[in-house]
Amino acid sequence: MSGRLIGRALYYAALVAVVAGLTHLVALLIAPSLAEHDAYARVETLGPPFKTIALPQASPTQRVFPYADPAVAAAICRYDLTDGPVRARAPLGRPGFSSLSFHSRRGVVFYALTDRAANKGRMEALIVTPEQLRKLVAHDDEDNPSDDLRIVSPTLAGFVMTRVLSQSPDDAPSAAAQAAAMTCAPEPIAEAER
Amino acid sequence: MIGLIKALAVAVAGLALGLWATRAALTGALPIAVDSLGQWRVEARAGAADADPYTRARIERSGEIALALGEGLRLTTRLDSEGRTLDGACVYKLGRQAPTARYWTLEAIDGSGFPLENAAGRYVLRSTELLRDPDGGFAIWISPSPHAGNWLPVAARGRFGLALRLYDPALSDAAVGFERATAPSVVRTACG
Repeated sequence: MSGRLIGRALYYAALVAVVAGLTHLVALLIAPSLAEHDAYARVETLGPPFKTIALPQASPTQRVFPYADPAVAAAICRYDLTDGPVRARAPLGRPGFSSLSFHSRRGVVFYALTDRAANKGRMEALIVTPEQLRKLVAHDDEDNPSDDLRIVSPTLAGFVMTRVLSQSPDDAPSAAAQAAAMTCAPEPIAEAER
Repeated sequence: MIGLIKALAVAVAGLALGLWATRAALTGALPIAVDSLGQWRVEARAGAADADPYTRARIERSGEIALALGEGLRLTTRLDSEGRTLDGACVYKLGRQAPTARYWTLEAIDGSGFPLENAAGRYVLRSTELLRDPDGGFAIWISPSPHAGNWLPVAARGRFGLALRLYDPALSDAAVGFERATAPSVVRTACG
């Protein structure tokens, strides 16, 4: 008798577990598309595309992006590849860590450069769609190859972010100035060819 | 009729359990797909395209702009070395070493990942600001009231967390390759 009871209890527990498992799987996979306040949505509220926006230093009252380092000065620039490739450029010129990262519409970091990979005193890249990359490659001069770093964006829109680490509280304004000097601007292909 | 009620009960229980598990995984209560390093937690692939669905969903939900692996790593803990919740009523000593990185910073955070309000208005300590022992080791005192040496202020009451960010870390491979032994310990020294 008790054996049958345990058997039935196990049967129902198994059914509940199967329903729970399926619910969990579906909820997990749709959770990102339901997230209304993901990083890109927050970036969108800050300003128009191609405008460099310095992020306020993280503090208990500046609650824009969680888990942002208060020791890091940051700026973002939203891009849109509809009208052609976009050039992102961040100058260097002070010692210490800085980086330039490329974020898709979905919040994925699809590329990142640090000051160690800098060329000619700046971090620079041309953001392109796969289509634009094909065009650029077709136009490339074989004897005089472009030294652009071309990065394919997985989405048409996205944003670039620069992070500049300050070495002390007194160094924060200098780091903020460097972060604010980052730019992103459209560069139609005809112009990119020169 | 009884069969229908039973089926409904199973469906409701299953849905509730499934949603609870998802919520727990996304808020971090259930550390699924999170690496641990002593008491520290780390999501090395946080911002990456090939991050697992748990990490992706957690990041999108929080709105964090995650560091790329090529930039650095964020280690987070809300526990001391004996597994007790970090509390502003206590004094903690963090040290004596950190994983090898070009720079690192230590920040006290609230439950949502924002800097912790404190009387001194200082939220972070940088590796470049640190006083070190002759052998290179260090100790950081974490307490609401000022402490001699390296001091990271926190709020006088309530729980808090610590975020240790490594910039240009020395990784032996794409995964979390640094040695377990180099993660700093957070030891409670006094309470009350």
